[in-house]
Amino acid sequence: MNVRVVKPGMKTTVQDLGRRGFQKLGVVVGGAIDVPSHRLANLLVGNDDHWATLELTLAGPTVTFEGDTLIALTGAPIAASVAGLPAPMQRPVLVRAGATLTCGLAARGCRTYLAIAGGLDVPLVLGSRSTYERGAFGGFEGRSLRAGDLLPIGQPTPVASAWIDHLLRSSPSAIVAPPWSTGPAQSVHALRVARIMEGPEWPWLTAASQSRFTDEPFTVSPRSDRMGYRLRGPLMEFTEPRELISEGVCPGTIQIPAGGEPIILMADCATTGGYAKVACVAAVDLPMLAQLRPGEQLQFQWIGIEEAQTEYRQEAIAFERLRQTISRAASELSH
Amino acid sequence: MSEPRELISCLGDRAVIVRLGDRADRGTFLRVFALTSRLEASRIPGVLEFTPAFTSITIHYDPMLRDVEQIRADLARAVAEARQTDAPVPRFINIPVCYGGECGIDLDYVAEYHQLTRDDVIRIHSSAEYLVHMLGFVPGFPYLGGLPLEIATPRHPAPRLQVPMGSVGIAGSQSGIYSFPTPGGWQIIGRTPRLLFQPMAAEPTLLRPGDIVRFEPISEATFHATREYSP
Repeated sequence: MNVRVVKPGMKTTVQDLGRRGFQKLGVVVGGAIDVPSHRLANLLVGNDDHWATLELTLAGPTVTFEGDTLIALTGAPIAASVAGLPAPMQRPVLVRAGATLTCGLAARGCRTYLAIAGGLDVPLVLGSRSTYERGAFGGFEGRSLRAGDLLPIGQPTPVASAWIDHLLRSSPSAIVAPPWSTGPAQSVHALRVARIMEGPEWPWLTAASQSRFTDEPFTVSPRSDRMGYRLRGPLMEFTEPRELISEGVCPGTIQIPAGGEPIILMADCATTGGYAKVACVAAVDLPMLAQLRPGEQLQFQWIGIEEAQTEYRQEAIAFERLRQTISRAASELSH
Repeated sequence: MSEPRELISCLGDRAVIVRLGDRADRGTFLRVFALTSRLEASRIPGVLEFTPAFTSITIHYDPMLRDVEQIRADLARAVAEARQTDAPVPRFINIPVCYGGECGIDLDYVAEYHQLTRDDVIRIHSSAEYLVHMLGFVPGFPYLGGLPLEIATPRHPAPRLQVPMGSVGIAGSQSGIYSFPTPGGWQIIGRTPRLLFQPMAAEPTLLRPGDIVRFEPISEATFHATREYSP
């Protein structure tokens, strides 16, 4: 059962958890830029974590479903509807065969995930279905979706089928959803604080730059994308000009290129880089960054590595508890 | 004379960088290669993968499975064991290159810069043996050591918007081969008809760290006849 793209939205790509094991060959990991939201969307439609979803950016697509389909929307809250009825976020939603889901603009945040029961069934490339646009491979034909694209969908799991049967029976409407919803995938902080740890080249910065790095806020530049976020704010200066030889990097790494404007590397960053790595954002704060829009501000704050890892583990454990709760709800459907 | 000490630094809470030397020379390459091999063989729980580079290896790990103190201990052990590892048996790879003309628009510039003829540059470039130190920047892009200093040329002050796929370039004493069309500031002296990256192939990249590369001059006609990618 395919899904037809009527309008592609601003930038909609197929993503999963990325390509692991090939960075040594220069192959970018990529994958969903807000991992918890991707995982939650998959959980709500009975998919495995690593199945592919659609990552929507700011303005979502309009798509038509050939068959009765279970979907879920997570991440940035987006105005979505089927036949004039609202498509709610954060829960499994049944869309009847032939119905069209129209997505509008995200009210806040930047990336919304649309999971479809069965997952996007595009070919695996180097073990992943993520789209690497720069290399034009992976995902759907290596690119963002366009009007007219026909998206192949995999087989829903038995859990998803149980939801579909239950929701089909509970209402004749083109769109049917349970009255409950999960909370958002990530904790929402009122003040956008990105917690950081010192990088290997932190000592290269002048004392003044080091103070300003956490004292003053930065603004996300419009020249930001899945590869990295450029930040406007206090320009960073080094005590002396120095060349760094290329080294392996990871998302969250904060580099200072010539010019002094920090860049936070994100999901599609290159595997190696030759710029000074002054700090690195805690993994647990990357989803918050992924939801920042150009023009929004953030502040850096120090965190110890052990504390950052403890929080990361706590969030993973909380997610597993949610998985149990949703499984229980699904098994109660068949009784 | 003792070898430089290895330095282990954290890069956030999911990666660690082990530095093995100060210079991107063959000795440092052998140490990087030995440690990478040792780490790959040791199957440390929680380790996802490695990014070997000129003088370092970045280890990517999952903090759910291994915390930072455990990783540091694992790495210290691996570093000690790696000192006993043998040098790699290299693969020798011939890369055909069409030099100059439309394939190498900077060949004349490089020749003039060094007061050499085009043929001199071609002869010098193609008689050297190059070591693949690492892959990075884009999938399949090899960073090569061993460029004869007589043709080492600084990169362009402003990068070109698009360097064609297969371009063979020089930047200072580094050389490389563009596996994708990308912006770039390297001096382009030739172009290979070979594909450096094929995501669906059993071996996705033509080259691997440790390979020894020789460039083999070919004619423009041969370039077009044997080109493995569309123009």
